[in-house]
Amino acid sequence: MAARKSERQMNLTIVLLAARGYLTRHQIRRRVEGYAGLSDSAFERAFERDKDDLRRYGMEISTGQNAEWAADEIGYRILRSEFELPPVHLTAEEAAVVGLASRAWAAHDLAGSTANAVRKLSLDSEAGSADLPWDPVVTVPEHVFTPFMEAVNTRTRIRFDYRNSRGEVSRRVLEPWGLSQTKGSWYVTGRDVDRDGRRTFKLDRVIDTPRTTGAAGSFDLPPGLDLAAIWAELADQPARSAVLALRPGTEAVLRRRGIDTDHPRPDGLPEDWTLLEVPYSYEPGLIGELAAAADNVLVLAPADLRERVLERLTGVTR
Amino acid sequence: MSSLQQVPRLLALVPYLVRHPGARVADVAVDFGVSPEQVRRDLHVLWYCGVSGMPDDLIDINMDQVDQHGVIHLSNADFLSRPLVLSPTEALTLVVGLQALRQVAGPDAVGAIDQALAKVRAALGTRSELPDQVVVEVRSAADRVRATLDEAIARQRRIEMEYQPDHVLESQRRNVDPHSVAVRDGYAYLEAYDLDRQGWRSFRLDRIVDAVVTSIPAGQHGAAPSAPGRHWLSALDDADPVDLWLAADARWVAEKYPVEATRAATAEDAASAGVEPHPDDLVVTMLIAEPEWLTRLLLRLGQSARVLNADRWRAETTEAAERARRAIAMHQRVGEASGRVEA
Repeated sequence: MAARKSERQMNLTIVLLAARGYLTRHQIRRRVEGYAGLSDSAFERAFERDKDDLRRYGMEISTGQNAEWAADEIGYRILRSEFELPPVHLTAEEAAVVGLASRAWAAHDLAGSTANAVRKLSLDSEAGSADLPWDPVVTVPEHVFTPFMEAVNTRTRIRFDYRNSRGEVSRRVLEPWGLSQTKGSWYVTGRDVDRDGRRTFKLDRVIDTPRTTGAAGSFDLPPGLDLAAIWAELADQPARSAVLALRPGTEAVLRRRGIDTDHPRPDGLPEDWTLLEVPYSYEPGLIGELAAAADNVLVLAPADLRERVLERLTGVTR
Repeated sequence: MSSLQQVPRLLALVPYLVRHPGARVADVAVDFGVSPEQVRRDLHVLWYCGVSGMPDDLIDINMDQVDQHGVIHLSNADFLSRPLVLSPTEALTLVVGLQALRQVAGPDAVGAIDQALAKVRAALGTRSELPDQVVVEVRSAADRVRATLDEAIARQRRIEMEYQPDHVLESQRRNVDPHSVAVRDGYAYLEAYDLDRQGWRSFRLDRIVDAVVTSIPAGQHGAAPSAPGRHWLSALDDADPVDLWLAADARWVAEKYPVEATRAATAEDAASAGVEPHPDDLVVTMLIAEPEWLTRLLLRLGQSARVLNADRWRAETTEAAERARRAIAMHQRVGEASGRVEA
């Protein structure tokens, strides 16, 4: 079944590409072997789906009219200038890094897409060495990532059930603008249609397989959208600073993030403890980190952070 | 194999075969990341593709050569001798790989990566904004450390580094022979032979505080093990399972760390943990190789975590509680809070 559909779509591609002018649906139906023997309605359904798929593969299908046609006749063709990849020349160094990057998807379904891209780009490029010591494997949540990426690519709305950090489940419809991975977790950002506002969701918390809804190209990116700036908020972009004292020789990770501070040393702090200012943006993460350090760290400020660390520690003693 | 995967491959395969007459099935399979059987199935689909009623223009493949010698000769494919533009998916998967590589490769390779990214972007034509819509950020090391690792790998030298593992309190001096840098789950790792531990180890790059190349040549330690997968903890020999009750606000533990099993908490679990039952609570089973790691996890989670198989982990739960008491006492003694610090 898949083989017959693949063959039909290849034939449709060749027919549209070989056409000297626009072809009517009737002409296409006669020239593409896979459409023979289909009823009128079955042909219409198959042709519509095939056109959608061809566009998904990256093809531009032009619609228009030949000069001698009646006013209501619509035809289709693929212009060679829009179909063909212009020659891309990669130097040996560039080809080498492209080859490495193509291994990023390892055993994932998307590995095939990267392999296609590399084969297309290699046609007019130099050969690259494969002997480089880097192995950048990208991991994505299975079953969830690909539908979101397709929705981003095609600008299609996507519907999914989402469990928030408090465990509450809700159904969402999103116009997805982009996907970002930070600290090992993938996020999707877009316009939440029902709530009419920008939202970011963690893909790990999406339940079951998301489904696209509505037509491709059904929304535009907001003018002036700066996804990099939105995602910078997700990463640890410091907004506040904590003042800490650290026991000598401990907690090197906190110590490395610390900067010098002119905060006064409190009375009773041993001389060999280091006073530091540590910038942070995600308070729950820092509270956990400071609680884990327990009596290796003295939290001096801000006061609410200090209280919440002590609350957390009290929870361990019960 | 669905048409959504097969057709884009066929469209890349035809120009490839036009360019490489007599290509071997086995080589094509490697280049396209599929099995030789799949290559043969692909060829059967391509064979006689073309415009119906124009038999002279159908794609022709010498199937005898394919079947008997594993060699591919294809003709009459002039309509498809140039590749289709990159599909959004093809471009994005490649861009994401290049982004990940850019954050772990040595500084010398960054120029070539940026050039390649620019060429992919240019090839996208009207969709040139796509590479900004999917972005990976890899937790890696400072340029200075990456340059050091790169130099040591290239010159096959031992390095001495200051490393901060997440399950011990103090940073350590480690002498390692570096092999490669890999990315897994958004974090970069140095794969290296650890001279102090006499074995292959992975080191998170963002925990390498500093590194210097020594004058000592790297030793021969046999083949590096292939990269461990997601369940790396279960590969460790002395790991023991802990059954951990988690409140709803600690569910992230099950997402962040490798867990052996996850289930909803029952009324008996709640009773055993000494808490009121709640429908969103979880019980996870994790393998613990470093007891210190569990102690710190318990401190981190406070009242949102309880060990259910308490007898096995008595020392760790007691240690966590004692450290917490000492920390609280210390805060009561020293440095009452002196106001908010502005950034």
